[in-house]
Amino acid sequence: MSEELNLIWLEGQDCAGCTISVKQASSPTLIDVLTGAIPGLDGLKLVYHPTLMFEWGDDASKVLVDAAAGKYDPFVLILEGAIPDEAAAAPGVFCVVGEYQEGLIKLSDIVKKLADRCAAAVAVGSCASYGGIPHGIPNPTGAQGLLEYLGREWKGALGLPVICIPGCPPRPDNIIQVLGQAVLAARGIAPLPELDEWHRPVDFFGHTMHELCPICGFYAGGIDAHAFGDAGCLGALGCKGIITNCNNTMWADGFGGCTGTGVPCFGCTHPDFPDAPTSPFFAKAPAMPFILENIKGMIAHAEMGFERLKPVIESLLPQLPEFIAALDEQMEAEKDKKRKI
Amino acid sequence: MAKLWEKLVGGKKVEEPAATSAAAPAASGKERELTIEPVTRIEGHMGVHVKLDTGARKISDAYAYSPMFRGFEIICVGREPSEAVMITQRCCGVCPLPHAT
Repeated sequence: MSEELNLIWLEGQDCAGCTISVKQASSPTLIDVLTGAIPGLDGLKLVYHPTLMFEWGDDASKVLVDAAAGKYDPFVLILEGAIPDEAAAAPGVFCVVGEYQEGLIKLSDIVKKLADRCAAAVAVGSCASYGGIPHGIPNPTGAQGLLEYLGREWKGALGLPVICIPGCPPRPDNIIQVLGQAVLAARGIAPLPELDEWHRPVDFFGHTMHELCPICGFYAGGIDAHAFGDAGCLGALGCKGIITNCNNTMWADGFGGCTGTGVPCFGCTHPDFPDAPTSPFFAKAPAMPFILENIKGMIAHAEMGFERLKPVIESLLPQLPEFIAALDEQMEAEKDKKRKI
Repeated sequence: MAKLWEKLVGGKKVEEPAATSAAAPAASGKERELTIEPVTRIEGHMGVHVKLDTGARKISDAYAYSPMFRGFEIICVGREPSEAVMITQRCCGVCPLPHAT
């Protein structure tokens, strides 16, 4: 039995879509994780989750107050939804997560308090990572992601920066596998997840949607869809896969998915979602990445063609001097023949 | 249910209200305010504020409110209509489809 680790899942300016997503996770399932069926992931306790927990009212708010006082250490802070700028809301509020003894618990306050104590902080979804939909121009509530709110330099008790799992919502298995890796890393069983410049795990977000697209063969073959429902590359319908980092796996238990089911990618994992370059969602993606990809592709294909010709050339090369000598001889013989005449 | 009732009337054990009690609302002036926030196991943020008249066993005032604002209408202004379909679905992740139409 591993050491007990609490999970505190806060919901800010969210839609609970990430919660619904994680409930569909299939390898492993949420039940497997929370009941301790996975070795190394046992001892996890979801002490606070507004959509799943049993307590309500003051009892629920008390969990947050106690957590800020250190009762649930060590815990992993998971945020779903963006964090608004409460200063812009005065004298009102933009996001309150509870009320305890007549006092409002503002999201921005409680996140700051919990961030001081937590072992690691994970931002689930594009809103929590980079602001997402509430952050869209003109950003009426001053919404920020956890990465911006805590800063890129912030580090939890484990020495890990904010881990972002972007997506709207992220794929179920992505959420649970990244969270699982974070927990295993916290216990020293797995290596720390490697993060890129946007604090995304490289194992999951190291490639673009386009690179891992299940129907990318249509693109290579020049078969384009010009109406929804057509078989073909969805680039002309506004697919943003070329600028979006995503692992493009199937959705739940091998079913669903985005481009695989004929739906153009609209760039939900992009840090600038839902603004340019992912907006307008059904306008064609910027041309530059396509041009660069084509140039790169042509060079690579030429190189590959050369690789194929290389053994032929190499086998012929030693015979070249002999061939030239034979040619010379033949020419001399021709000249001699003419002289004789 | 019993726990909830206990909470509503402040821990005092009270018999189940008889059918006739509604007909005789003897106002006692004893007021009690109750706030439930957050209401869990639903999507989103919700709070309920209730004013109770414990003497007459009546709810004198009640509000349900959502202490969270994102400004979807403001975000949608100036965008292509086709984008609104994708954006308004994010009102609720439990039931996105009704918000798309």
